[in-house]
Amino acid sequence: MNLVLSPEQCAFRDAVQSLLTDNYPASHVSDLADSSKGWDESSWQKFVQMGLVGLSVPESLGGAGATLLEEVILFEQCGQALLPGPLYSTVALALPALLGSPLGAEVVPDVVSGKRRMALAWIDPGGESSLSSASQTSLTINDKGIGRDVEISGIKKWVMDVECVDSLVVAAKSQTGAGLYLVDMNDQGITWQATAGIDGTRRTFDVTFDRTRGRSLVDPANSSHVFDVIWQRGLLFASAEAVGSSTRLLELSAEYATDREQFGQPIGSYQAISHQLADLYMHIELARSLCYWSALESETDGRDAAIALRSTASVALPGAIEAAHRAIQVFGGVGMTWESIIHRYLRRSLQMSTIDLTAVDQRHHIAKFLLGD
Amino acid sequence: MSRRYGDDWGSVFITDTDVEAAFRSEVRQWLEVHGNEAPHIVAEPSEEEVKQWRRWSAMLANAGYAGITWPIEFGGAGRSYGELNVWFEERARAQIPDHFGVIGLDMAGPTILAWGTPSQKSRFLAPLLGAREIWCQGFSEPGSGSDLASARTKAVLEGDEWVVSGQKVWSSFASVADWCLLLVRTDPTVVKHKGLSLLLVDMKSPGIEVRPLRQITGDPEFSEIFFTNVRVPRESIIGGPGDGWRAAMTTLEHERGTHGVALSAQLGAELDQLVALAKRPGTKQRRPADDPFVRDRITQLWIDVQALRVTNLRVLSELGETGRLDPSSSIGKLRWSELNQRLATIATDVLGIDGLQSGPHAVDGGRWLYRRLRTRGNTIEAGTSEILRNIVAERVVGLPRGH
Repeated sequence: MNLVLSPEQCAFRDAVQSLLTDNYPASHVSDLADSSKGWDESSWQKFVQMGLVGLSVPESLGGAGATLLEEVILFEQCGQALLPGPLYSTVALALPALLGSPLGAEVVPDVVSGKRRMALAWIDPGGESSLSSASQTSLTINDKGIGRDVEISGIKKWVMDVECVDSLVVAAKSQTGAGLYLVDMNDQGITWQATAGIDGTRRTFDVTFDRTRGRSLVDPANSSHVFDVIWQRGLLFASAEAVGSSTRLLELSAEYATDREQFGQPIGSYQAISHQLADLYMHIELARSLCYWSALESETDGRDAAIALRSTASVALPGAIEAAHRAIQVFGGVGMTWESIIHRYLRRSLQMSTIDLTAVDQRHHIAKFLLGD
Repeated sequence: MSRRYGDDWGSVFITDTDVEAAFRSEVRQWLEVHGNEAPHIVAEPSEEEVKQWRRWSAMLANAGYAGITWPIEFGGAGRSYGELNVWFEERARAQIPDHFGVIGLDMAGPTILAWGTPSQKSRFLAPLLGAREIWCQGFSEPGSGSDLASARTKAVLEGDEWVVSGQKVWSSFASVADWCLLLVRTDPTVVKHKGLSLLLVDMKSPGIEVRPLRQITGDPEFSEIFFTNVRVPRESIIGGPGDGWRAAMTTLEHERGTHGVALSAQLGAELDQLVALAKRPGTKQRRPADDPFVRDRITQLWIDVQALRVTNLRVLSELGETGRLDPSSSIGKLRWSELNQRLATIATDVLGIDGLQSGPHAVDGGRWLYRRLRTRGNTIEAGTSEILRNIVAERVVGLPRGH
């Protein structure tokens, strides 16, 4: 297995990085997080032009036909910049539902060309929040076949990016199994309310459907593969974002520890600080390796891709929280202020750590594989 | 996901390229045929056992399993680092002993390859591969541990010879070695890093005395070496006078890098043994694996070992592309030492008092107790964890120099 990024992959990473640093300096991200809208719609077309939305979409549907590894590189950069907006919702969570649907040929080109931004609604009131439980939804509808209309009535909780998107993919159950339904945000029967959530750069909403029109995307009796791919991409790209966030937090901490002097020396020259950051570096690189491993195993349908992915998420997601904790400690009182960007990273990583099972529960699954029931 | 862990490919968990897969099956076939000829290595091998070990090492070399990534012109196999990793994994899985000349293969050899003159390369590399000549390393001194650049063993040029006096310590294989890669001070008048040189010293030279040191395991795994007016030919120097520190860094990068990867492959195989131990019914017929706390400790360790192994593959891939080891490769050794200690700790915790016995009546021949004691040295040897963190902090993270 070759794990060095190719020159093309490095060039792609650098191009994404400069796009994001140009358009999303930290001050801008903070302003957006505190603004009423929460994101900057004007940048979406730039992502589209760079082919980021349709990166792994087949060329026949207008995409670039790239691999999961390129998308991991993309989301590392998004995490590093703390990109606000619906790129994760659209690319990680909604696109796989469309690509797994016979309707994909009709809808996917609109997504790739930037005409349609999307999010996924999967959490029921009082239900499991983890992505792996999306197919266990209790929201019930009457499915009449792929492409046919259904009526949806009920509530979905914690839906990300609702106010930045044009359509939702809603998980609901029919007579034969769990299905996925495409809903237009302009529909009369749909209302939403912002959750008093933690992350201003990726807001969540409670969405209420009242006889809302939805189109059936997949055959509920044969949908498990589509749910698996949503889980896989959701977890992999959340982990990649977490590695990116951690990387940025390390850079910020290292800069601060170099400039900030106490007792006449830069605090980064003291081992009490420098060894913490060396350890942080080590943990970030270990998590990055897990992301690449998962991407390659998932891409080639490796026999143990799911175990690789659970391992990755169990390390990368809590790792980003720990990175923020360390950064706050290095920054001291400054790290506790609203003005500092660090709490934005902490907020994002706390929210994204709930995308699936907890790290303990992921390990519980791995333990079954490793040690038997 | 019907496959269970350990069913067919043991600890191997990363998809091979076609070339790697072909090499893996070649290695497996060879080990199936020849594995039973491997000697059983004991802590204090007799002369006859040392002979057997050398013979086995020569067999490995003849089969192309020594110097796997070295250029063919120097007796290597010219293979990729991915294939080298395959060898490490398969050797660990088959539980066959390392090449006897491990210091030569992983430390002295790469240093000579990187820095040696054409005649040094042709003189030293082939005998080293075939274990006809064994190497040891003379770096640490009683007064120079982490502060290696303060080494005081001195070499003074007299005519066409260096005259060496001083003391080295923690030298593995010194009691059987034919050659020593020796760090000496050739110029006491310049700043400490600049006055060092690396010499290639014949261990049969008059004036060398080797005294084995007994470790906490009870084994004399390494020695002290005393040099009293030892005469070394002027041309037996790596690079030139004053190049010693930079050349020694090449040695240490390989010790922490490629050798670290071999150790991590070993760790993968030992983790399999820990998993097997946890699945065996212990006292009161309970499997340790049924205890939720033990389960989670083993699972966390397993995840961390996979992360280390993939990180090592990244380091090796990088080495294959650029020909050099980045300072970031230091995290491999840093992490390996922590995980190796954790593994031994979990195993002895699981065994309780049964884990505290050695000898033939002990569980698994006392291997876990041995490891419990031996692994404490892992965070000290080849650069303490504190020094490695300094390297990462200063050279990778870019923090100001510490004090």
